Amino acid sequence: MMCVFPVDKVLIDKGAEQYRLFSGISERIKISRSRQDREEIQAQEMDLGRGKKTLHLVPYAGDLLKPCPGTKAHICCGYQILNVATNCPLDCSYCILQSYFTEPNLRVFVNLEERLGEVLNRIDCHPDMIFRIGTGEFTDSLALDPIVGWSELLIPAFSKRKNAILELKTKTCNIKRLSLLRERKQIIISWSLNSPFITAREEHRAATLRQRLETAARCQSEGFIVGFHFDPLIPHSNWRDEYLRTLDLLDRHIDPRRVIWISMGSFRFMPQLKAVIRKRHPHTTVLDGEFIPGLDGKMRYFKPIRMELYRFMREHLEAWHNDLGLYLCMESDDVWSRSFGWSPGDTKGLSRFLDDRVKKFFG
Amino acid sequence: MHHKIDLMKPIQISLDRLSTEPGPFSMSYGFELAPLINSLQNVGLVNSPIVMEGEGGAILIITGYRRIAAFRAMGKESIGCRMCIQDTFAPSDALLINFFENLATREFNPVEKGMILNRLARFLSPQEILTQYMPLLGLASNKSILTLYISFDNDFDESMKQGLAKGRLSEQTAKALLDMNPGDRKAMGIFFLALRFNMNQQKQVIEILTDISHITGATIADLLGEKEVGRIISAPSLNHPQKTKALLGLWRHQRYPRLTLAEKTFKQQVSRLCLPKNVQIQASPYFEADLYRMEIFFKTGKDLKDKIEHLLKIEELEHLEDPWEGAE
Repeated sequence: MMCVFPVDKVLIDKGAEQYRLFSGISERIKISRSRQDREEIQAQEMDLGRGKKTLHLVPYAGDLLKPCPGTKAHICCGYQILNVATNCPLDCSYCILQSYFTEPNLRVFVNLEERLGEVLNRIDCHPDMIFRIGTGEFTDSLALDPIVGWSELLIPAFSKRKNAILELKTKTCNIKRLSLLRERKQIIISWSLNSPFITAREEHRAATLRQRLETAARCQSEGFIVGFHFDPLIPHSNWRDEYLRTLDLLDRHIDPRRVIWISMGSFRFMPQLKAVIRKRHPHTTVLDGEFIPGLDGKMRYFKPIRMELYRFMREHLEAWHNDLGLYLCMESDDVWSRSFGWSPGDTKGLSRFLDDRVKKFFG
Repeated sequence: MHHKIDLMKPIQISLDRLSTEPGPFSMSYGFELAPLINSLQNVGLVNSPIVMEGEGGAILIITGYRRIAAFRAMGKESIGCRMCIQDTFAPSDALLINFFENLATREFNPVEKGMILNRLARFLSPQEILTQYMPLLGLASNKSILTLYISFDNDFDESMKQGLAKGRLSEQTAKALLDMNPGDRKAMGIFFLALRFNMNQQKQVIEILTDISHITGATIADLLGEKEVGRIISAPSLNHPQKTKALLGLWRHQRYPRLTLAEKTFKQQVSRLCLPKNVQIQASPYFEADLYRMEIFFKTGKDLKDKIEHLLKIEELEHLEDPWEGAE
């Protein structure tokens, strides 16, 4: 089963046609040669709904590989973001990308193949470092894979490198292209999970929880290592039972021994996102919690609520399997210690913990 | 057009013939007449209003609506005006004469900006308004801002317009009110104007009540009509600032039950310690940081030492903890 997202319009930036990714895309979808100048695109009003159906093919000039920006006074996982695209055809009500970028379209960087060498060289020049790289920060890693074909480009390249892993993070079932490849080493396919209530009500256009876990199970059976991300955890009515339903589904479908890590993070957002969410998703429940301004300026749940969420999830996940590589995303040392009973102390400590997980699974 | 105005000689027109309504070209709203009357009484009419003969002999005011109103308030019977013949000016010319005359001499309030943009929109394309006129009004050339200001003119009732023009409602508050349904907007507007919340409080009230409304399904008008709210508003023992504080406290507790409980518990914990005078213990904002802070103010080293010794004797200090710990 595939999640296919409709593309109503394709915009092509100057010079985009010369790149190989462009040729592949134009073979897979009909491109009506609709060109627009950059100024014209920037002058358009932000229409996120329309942007989610507008593919914008762009040669990217910025840094392809960037460290996760992290956030002040919180422990970061030390992840590196491979910048392949911005924006996402899914429409999760809580998505921070709604107020993150100035252009609403699905921008795909068509010169990725030509520039990938820069990233690979950097990895090869630092054999003592482990590069944990993902494409799922600014877009869903697999939502547009049926159109763009990132799998065939990225998986063979990263699979050859012992000091790097590539994590493809998704809420879809789009694994067809990557299933056809032979490579499994250094590749992690991971899914964002939530309670059935949040998944059904807030994660518009995403695969259902069951579909995600069935797809994850298929990946495991095909030899892939998988990961999961409970992010954002959102307390809602009956949240304990609801999250237990998700854990029950995990137990039914997934072999925990082949799970490299499970992260957790509670819903947090820059204050300006709230108005966007209210406007775009008037019936959402994600803003109902007790949010306070955190030390980094982002809105977060009041600390005891966050700790309650993490403790609950940790206890039940650890009861399922005691070696799941559980970690917290963007939390303080204090919250780590009081929710998990231990803390990596700082970003370096968490990076070491996750690097060790990589070594354990991929040698 | 300008040449024609220069050549016009003022003629006396009876105030009875001039409408008391601002008419289609005026851009004045929410003004005070007193300073203008004072000026007219001291130096007389320096600049004559410009008027135009309309259909059926009616006289339309192009510029000088406030001067005419001031003359009327002063008990005068006529005023010297420069009269244009209808055919000489297109309505758009008349509007622009008023606009530029006002622009050169004063700042417009937000309601006036809305009136101007609304009137310009009848004659000019949105693009012209965006690129030429919005910057002149000190506004960003942005479609949503244009729509917002026109809504100030179209969608607010008189009391809200007065509140906005006189600065009792902030533009941010006005924008938030426009996002509400008409019933909630009206209830909220009446409430703000009656209770004199400052701008920051208005922002807080809107945000908290909007959240509570989403969570509970009650309308904002319903929330404002709740018994406890009515009790606070009508409490004779409370003045305006006390009422606004009490209302904010009430809604804050409804919106943030765990945080407000923690704040209360912490305050009680600290109070039970009976700290020496000039010693304070404070939590970080929202208890987000993991450390608490103690401040000791002292006059001499001896004073400091005494205070520390006093603190060491407070056994309860050892049990001071996060205020939610006992409750979990």
